[in-house]
Amino acid sequence: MSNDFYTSSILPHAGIIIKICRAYTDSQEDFEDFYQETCLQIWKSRDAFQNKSKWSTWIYRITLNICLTLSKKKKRRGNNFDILHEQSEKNTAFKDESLNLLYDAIKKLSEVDRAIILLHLEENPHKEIATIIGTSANNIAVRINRIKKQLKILLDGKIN
Amino acid sequence: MEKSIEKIWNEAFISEDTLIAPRINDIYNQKSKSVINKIKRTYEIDNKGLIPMAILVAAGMTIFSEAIIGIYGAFLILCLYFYNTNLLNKFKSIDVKSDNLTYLKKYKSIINVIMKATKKLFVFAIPLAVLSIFALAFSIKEKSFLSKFISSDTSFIQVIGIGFIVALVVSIIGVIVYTISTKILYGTLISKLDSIIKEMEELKK
Repeated sequence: MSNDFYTSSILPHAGIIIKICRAYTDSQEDFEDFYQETCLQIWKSRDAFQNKSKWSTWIYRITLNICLTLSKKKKRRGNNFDILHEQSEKNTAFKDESLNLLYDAIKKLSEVDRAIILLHLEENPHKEIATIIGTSANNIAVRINRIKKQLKILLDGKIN
Repeated sequence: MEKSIEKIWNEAFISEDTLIAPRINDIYNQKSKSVINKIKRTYEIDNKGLIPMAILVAAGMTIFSEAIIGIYGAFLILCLYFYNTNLLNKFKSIDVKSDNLTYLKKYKSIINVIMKATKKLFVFAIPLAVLSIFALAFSIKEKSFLSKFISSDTSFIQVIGIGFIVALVVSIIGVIVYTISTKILYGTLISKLDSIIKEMEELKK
C-alpha cells in the first residue's frame, strides 16, 4: 500500500475506523489487528469503489464488515482467554471515564446494533446508515431509539 | 441532568488522543506465520507417515513369507524418509532475520525444489527401486513371490523386462497419485502463500 494512498484516502477517516475497531475488540493487540486488516481491505478493494456512494460510506462498510467477520472468527476460537481479555481491557481504556462506560455499554449490544449506534454517533444520516447496514431508513430510526433506550438502561445513571 | 450519549461521545473524543492511528506494519506477519506453520506441519506429518509404512511393509511381507523382500522394501521406504528429511532441512537454511517477503519467497522456492525432487524420484528412483526388488526376488526366487510366476528356466533379462513394465506402471501411478495428493494436502496452503506473496509485492510498490 503506498503511503500516498494511506495518507490521502485512509488517514482522514482513521478516526471512525479506530472508533469502530475499538467497539469490537477488547485488547490493544486485537484492536491493532482489526485496524490493520481494515486498512488493508480498503486498499485491496479500492478498485471496486465505483463512486456510487461516498468514499466515507465505502470505508464504514468495509470497516464494519471486517470487524464483524474478525470478531465472529475470534468468538469461534472460543472464550478461553477471558482472563487475558480482562487484563488487556485496561489497555484500551480511554482517559475519559464516561467514554469508557459508554464503550462498555456499546460492547454489550448485538454486533449489528453496535454498528448502527456507532454510525449514528458519528452523525451519519439515517438514510446513509440504512445503505451501509442494508435496511430501510425507517427501520434504522426505530432501531436507534431502541438501542438508545437499551444503552440508558445499561448505563443506568452511571454518567451524569 | 443526564447527558445524552451523543453529547458524551462528541465531548469525549474532542480531548481524546487515543484516536491516533496505529502504525501499519507487519500486516502479513501473523498471516504468513500461520500458513508457513501449516505447510511445515503437513510436510512433517506426511514424511513421518513413511516410518509406520516401512514397519507395515516389513511386517506384512514377513507374514506372507517374503521377509527379505519386506525388509528391503522397508529399507527403501526409510531411504525415502531420510531423503525427504534432508529436503525438509532446507527450510531451516532460510535466514529468519530476512524480511517477510524475502522469507516467503525463499520458502516458496524451496517448496518448488522439494516438489521437483519428489517428481524426479517417482520418474527415476522409484522405477529403479522396483527393478531392484525384481532383481532381488530373482536372486532368491525359490524363497520369493517370483517362484509362483516363473519357471526355473526364466532368464534374468525376462524378469527384468517384466520388472521394467511394472516399474513404468508404478512410476506413472506414482506421479499421478503424488500430483493429486499434493493438490489435496498442499493446494490451498500453497495458493494462500502465493496470494500473500503477490499482495506483499503489490504493497511494496
